[in-house]
Amino acid sequence: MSNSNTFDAIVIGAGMSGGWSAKELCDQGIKTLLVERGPDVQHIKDYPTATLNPWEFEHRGEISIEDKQANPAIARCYAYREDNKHFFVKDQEHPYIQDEPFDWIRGYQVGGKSLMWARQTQRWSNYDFTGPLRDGFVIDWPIRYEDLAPWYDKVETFVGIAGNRDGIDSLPDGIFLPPWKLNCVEEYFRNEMKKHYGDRHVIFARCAHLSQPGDIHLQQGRGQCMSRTECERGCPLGGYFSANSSTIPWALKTGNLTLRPDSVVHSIIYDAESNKATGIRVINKNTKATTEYFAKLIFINAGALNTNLILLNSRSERFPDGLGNHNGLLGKFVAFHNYRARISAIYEGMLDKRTKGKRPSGGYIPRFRNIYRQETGFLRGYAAGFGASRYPQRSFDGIGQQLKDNLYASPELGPWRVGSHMMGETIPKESNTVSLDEEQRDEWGIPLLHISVKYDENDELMIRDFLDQFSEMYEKAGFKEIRTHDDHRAPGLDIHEMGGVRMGRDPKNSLLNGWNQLHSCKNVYVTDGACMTSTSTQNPSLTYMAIAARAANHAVDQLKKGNII
Amino acid sequence: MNRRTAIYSLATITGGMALFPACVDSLKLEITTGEKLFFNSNQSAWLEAISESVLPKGDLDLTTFESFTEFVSKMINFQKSGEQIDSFINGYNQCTKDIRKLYHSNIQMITPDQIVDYFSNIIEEELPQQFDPREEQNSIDKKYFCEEVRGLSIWHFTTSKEYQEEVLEFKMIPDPWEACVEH
Repeated sequence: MSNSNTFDAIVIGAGMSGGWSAKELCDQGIKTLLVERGPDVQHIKDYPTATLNPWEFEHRGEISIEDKQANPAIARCYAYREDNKHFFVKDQEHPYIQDEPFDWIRGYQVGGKSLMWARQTQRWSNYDFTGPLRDGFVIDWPIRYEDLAPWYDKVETFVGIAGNRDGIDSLPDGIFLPPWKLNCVEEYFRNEMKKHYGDRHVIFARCAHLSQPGDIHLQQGRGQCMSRTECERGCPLGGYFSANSSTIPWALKTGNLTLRPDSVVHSIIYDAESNKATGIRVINKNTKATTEYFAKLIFINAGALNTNLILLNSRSERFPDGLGNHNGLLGKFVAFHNYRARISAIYEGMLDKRTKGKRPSGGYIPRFRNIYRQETGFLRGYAAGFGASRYPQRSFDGIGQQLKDNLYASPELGPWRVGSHMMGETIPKESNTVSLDEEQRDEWGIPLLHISVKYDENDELMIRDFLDQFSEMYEKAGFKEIRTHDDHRAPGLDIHEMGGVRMGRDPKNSLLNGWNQLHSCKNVYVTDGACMTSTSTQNPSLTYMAIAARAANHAVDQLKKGNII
Repeated sequence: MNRRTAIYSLATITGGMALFPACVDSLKLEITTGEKLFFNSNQSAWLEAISESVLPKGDLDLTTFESFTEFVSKMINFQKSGEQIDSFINGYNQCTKDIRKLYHSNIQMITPDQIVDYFSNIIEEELPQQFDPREEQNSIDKKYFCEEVRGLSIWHFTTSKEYQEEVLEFKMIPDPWEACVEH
């Protein structure tokens, strides 16, 4: 065992939650190794397209037909374009086995998907944490909102969240920077919903953008969000939160972090005698050389499904089916968010009003179904986005001088166009699984992952309800030309895969305890999406970050008390 | 000499010998399936002339990543299937043949208005019913070519620096958000 390969803690995965695990550990003096399977992406320096003008893109933002054919999953992702394709994992280069159709969107680099995320940051409430217990599905969460609230505070303060204190008990308020305002039609819709329903709220979607940076953000070297809305290219201003602009450079500044990109984790090394994980086996992405690193603490933040993969591949005599898999549940109860349905319409009023400039977020309608009582034939509910905008009605008609004149004509603004997309909770099921292929390996000799995840009847009923309810809501608001659409997309494009290593109170039916430690190997913490017992409707990153910060502080506390040696 | 005149001069130079059989062939695209679309100088000049007629740029000196014909070959190769590329090539050849037959065998004698008329007719008219499958395919391909050239002309033009800044008012840092202003 080489001293240079030995640390106090190892964090696997330098993305959204891994950055937080590393930062919290380093802040407390823990010598930490952060390994990332992809290349380094340094803030600003490695955002090659961030300041390019539209006319400077060789393919005008488009993706080639060969690329789409070779990478059908990512080609279906709204964010995969010429300007940020370098941040997406190519399907072809990192294959997986779809037992059921699943579009797996990944970002293998320092920063992970925190570079390309949608930056939506709504807290969970106790209606979410107590949901499984109350509604009788899966198992009870071992934590409640009160356990996480101080960590939400901490994360929100550091990250910088723009939002309103809306006073909605199912969507707790947090520590917010000033929000961007809803426009007139969004405000109108908010008032209409209040008038017709009372409990259906339209709010500004809280988002991880610095509307007004505070000292803590300036210390990170981040500046005000200028609403460029080119976020997925990487923001040279640090206007939105990413691990690259925030947690990782912060942790590096402590002097306690060692960052190793291009390090593919093969498995976790387990010592049966001490019943502890002692380190990790890493394969250099480029040279394929294997190295072992050692530490007292291991945090797994590889991204939900890859976290499952690493644990499943960490086999030992004690754990032949994967580290911590004492009950055979590892890789089961995987879930995601249901984003299949959307609705659009026009509003014929307020033609004397328009907006000016841009903003990085829009309207949000928190879940309103089945919160206080079971009122539908399906379990749980959905949140939704809401946006209203007017576009210039530029004519592209004609040919010759007529076409040119049309392109130069000052266009009239069209009517207000409104739209919503659903964000539905799915119920984790034992039959929704990931597992390892026993024969097929990737380039680094790691078993390919089988993904077997699909919608169920509850999801179909929920889609129907979303379309019915939103049609009704739109009609009540006087919207016209209402159009509904179910795109029947495969799971995955929500990019909110969760579960497989779920938290719970009882080791018989869960893998992790209330502090995110493996029940059966307590110096291993899982604090990314894999730990989620249920999915609720909110975009999950904020909750992952809060969970990671809480667990890291617990780990340090345990380390200091000598409970983890 | 403005841009439009220059393009026509180029067309004159390259097409001026169009009465000679060898030069007639130089306008014909001959690419076998699976190959990338590429234009020789005569074809490029002809395509530029078509584009200038379809969407006249006149004296505008546009800042774009590439010339129009480079854009056409790049984007057709980049975005289209082999079948679509074949259709584009056949459409180009059929249209070029049609235009020569309709207006003049020497393309230097063909005016922008004639090209506009031809394109307008092809794009706007419903596909004629053909009993010969080859003729039917030719009609489909001609329409496809005309629509693609028109679309690519608009795309190339509207993604120029000048159009983005002057007409679409693109700014690297947009105006601050104002949620509700009088219109």
